[in-house]
Amino acid sequence: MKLKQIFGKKGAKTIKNGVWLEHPISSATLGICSALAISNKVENAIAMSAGVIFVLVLTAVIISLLRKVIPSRVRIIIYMITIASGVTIVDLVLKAYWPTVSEAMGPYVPLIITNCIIMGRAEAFFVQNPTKLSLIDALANGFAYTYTLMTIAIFREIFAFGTLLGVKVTPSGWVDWVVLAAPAGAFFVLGVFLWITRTAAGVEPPAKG
Amino acid sequence: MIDKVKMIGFVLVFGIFWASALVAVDTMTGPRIEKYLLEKKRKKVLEALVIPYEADTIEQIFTTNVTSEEIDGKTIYTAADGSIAFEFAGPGSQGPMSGVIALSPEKDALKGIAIITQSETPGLGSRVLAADNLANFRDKKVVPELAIVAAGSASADNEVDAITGATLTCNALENIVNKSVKATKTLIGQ
Repeated sequence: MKLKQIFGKKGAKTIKNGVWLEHPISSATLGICSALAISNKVENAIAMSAGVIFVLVLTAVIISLLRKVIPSRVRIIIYMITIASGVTIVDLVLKAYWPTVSEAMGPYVPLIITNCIIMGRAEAFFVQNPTKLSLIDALANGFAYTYTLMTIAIFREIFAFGTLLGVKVTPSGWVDWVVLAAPAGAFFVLGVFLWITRTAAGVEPPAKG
Repeated sequence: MIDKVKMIGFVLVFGIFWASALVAVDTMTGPRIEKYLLEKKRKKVLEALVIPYEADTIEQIFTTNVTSEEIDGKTIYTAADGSIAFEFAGPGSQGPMSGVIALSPEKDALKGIAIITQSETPGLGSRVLAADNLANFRDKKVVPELAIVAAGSASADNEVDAITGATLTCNALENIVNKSVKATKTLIGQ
């Protein structure tokens, strides 16, 4: 296994869990809200994913570095302060130096704060693991989020708008599936995505006790 | 007791650290953001008045072609041909929207609409506010009132086609345009 040689046994396991077995969206059902809302166009999905990866990495580094000094009773507040401040800084810097990017991403930047993947990983992983592993975990989860959003967005954009990254790809006479542009359409696509990936991962739903 | 003090101390230090980081970033980026917003507003005024510009000549074209005047705290921009532009803001269907509306010299028809901020559903409501759709509003009469009617049925000179699937945004835009045009005409005494 190449992954094991590069990242060590733990690192390889973290990557495998983050990207596939414990996929944040399909297994842990975190970040569903943004996956539904921002997957109608590939362009939006790219912008949102980039923002989430950045804030995930920032949170991973800060929380894992401070994991031994953060008093456990106030840890959630600490995550919130870190995430919210990080997002605000990203938002301000984008507005000042890349105003066009900032406009394209519109309200999605502040929305990153509410992305449960960041909070979820902070509580489940970053606060218990060393920085290097946390960084690997952040990137693995960020990648999982990205490819999920991209897959859903590619389907939705082609079927609902007849375009891909704004370029017309469907034949003339194509009738747009307007339902896929609406949030309800995202549920259909996400449902099929979960079904396929979870079956492929061989994950059985927990038996009812 | 010591634990509690430590806990409060940690949150305090952590909070102060991020607060000062935010203040620092804000002071650094503030002037740039303001400058950009002013330039964007001017760009939108030019767009609404249908005055052509290049990205690097906005400042120059704006100052030579447009005069601005404050009436009761509202800025009215006047172009050389007598057409006027003013900013508007109001509720969209998903969140607030704002922009610039320009009226013909006779103040009875729209010259153009330019959007500055909006938060309509991407791909649905947002299509109403896209530049190519807003071009349909050019020269439409606002006397007695602008009307956005069912797609394909616009015939009178105050009617604009709606976009299917974006009814709420169309209604919101129609409302805002009619309201703000009336308010501005009262303001300038016409």
